Amino acid sequence: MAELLEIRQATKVFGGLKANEDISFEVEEGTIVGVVGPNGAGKTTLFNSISRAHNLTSGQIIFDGKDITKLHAYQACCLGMGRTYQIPQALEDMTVLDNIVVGALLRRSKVHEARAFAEEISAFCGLSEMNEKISVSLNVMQKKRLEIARALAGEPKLLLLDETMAGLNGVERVQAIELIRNIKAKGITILMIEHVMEVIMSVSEKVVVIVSGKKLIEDAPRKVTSDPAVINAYLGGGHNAGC
Amino acid sequence: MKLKSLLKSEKGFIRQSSVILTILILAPVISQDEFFAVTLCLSLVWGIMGLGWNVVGGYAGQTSNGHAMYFGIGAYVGALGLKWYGLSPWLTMWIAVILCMVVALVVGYPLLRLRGHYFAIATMAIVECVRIIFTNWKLIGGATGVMFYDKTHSELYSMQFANRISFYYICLGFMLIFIILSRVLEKSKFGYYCRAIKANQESAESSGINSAFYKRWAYMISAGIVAIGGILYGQLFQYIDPGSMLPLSNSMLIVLVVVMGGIGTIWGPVLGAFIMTFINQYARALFNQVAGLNLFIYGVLVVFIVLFLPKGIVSLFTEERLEALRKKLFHKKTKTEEA
Repeated sequence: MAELLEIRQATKVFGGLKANEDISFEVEEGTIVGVVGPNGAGKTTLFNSISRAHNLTSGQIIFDGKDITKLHAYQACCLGMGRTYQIPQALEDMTVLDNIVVGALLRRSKVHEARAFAEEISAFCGLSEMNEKISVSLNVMQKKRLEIARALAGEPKLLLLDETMAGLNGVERVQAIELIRNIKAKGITILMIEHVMEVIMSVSEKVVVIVSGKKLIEDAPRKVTSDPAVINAYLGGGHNAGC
Repeated sequence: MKLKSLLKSEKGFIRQSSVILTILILAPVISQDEFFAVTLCLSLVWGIMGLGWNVVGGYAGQTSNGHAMYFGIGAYVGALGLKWYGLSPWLTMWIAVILCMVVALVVGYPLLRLRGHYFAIATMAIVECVRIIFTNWKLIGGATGVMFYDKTHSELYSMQFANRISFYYICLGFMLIFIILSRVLEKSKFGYYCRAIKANQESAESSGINSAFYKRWAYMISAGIVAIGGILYGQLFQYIDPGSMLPLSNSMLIVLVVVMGGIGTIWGPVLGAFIMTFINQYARALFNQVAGLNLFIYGVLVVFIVLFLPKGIVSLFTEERLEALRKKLFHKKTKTEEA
């Protein structure tokens, strides 16, 4: 399979802090890749670099065969990259459906067509019942779904999901996993940051572990969780002395 | 077929417009008083400017405090065109609109990178610069301004009517155009994108919206509409000077008209303009011995509106209330028919 996204030696420096250092990995088309790591490891920074919310200090991002390292966020989105935020950033004064319409207008310039498509997407994400609600009134899970819906409405090739499971209870989590599987079935590649290992283990083909801004390991989920270096990073040095 | 479905989907809007337009068309009947007629004309001029500001301030959420600049430039183009070259305002208004849009493009390019308060302050600074330039520019009359009462052409050509009511209907025509334009913008892709930028610029960008591009266009359209307001204002009084066209208070009044009426709505600016102008004019006439009392009354009212009706006066007229009112009226009618 071809690579949809390729990150080459991505480095991002904030002042004196190296948030990302020399990270390289690939995301193959049609797969789900998870990015895990302890708090403050630089996962969201990496996401912001990929989605072009800020510039890399050095390194390259190749998306769908094109070098997007210097592009603006909206241009990356036009090329087929959709994203969600860790803290949901809904368009607050607008209704749920209008939020999705904004996403859908990217590929459809007629409002009524975009509306029809937005309704489809809304149903796909299980939001149809709240189409006319103002997005401020939604709860966290609904807002996260709305973010996914808005990104999907732009018909992305690659979807970046930033902690879509955080703060969800068990039932909601099962629904969310199902949603992610359905998105994959549509042929959309997913790169997701996730803390909930249960989710990563059950859906992803590959996991990239980032610790203190550096890539520690990149492998299949089963192998990653048994890797002593990963356990060491999560639990600290002393615990695995006997391993 | 397409027209039919359009009419159907816009039924509510068409109903509202027809009610409000009927009221506005009949308004001059209320009084034959000259002062009243001038106040009506002024209300429409402010309404047009409010609708203009609303495009960038209401839909795109960029609080410009410098729209007096386009008001002034518009009025000066109209005035000087008529005075120097005998050009009709019907012609010069196109020049004014284009000129203002170009100025807006140039000014907006760097300024629209700023956000929130910074943008507001920067626009304020620019209009002050323009005021000082105009005050010291001898060629265009400097601080004494321009008198351009025109006797050589017909009233329709110079847009200067002895009868204020005729002028009122011309203004009403323009306002109708801008109301329709606002509605078209609101319902278009442009409108959705502007509202998205207002709600959350980062999200908008990551949804594929070129926010700089859309903000720039919103600013330019807004400047163009306000330019027309400037032309109409000039022809109404046939005298303009930098002190009355470009002060900070004018920029603020444009904002207040919209905020008072209802920001990001179509009827808000119209309603706000009428309320603001009537209070201003009549308070000034009634309390003419106390200078500035009109502004005091107006200020107090603004404070109360902002406190208790943050979405503007227009938020009093909710769908449910209008529906109830309609039912009441309709009900009465059927009763009288039965009787």
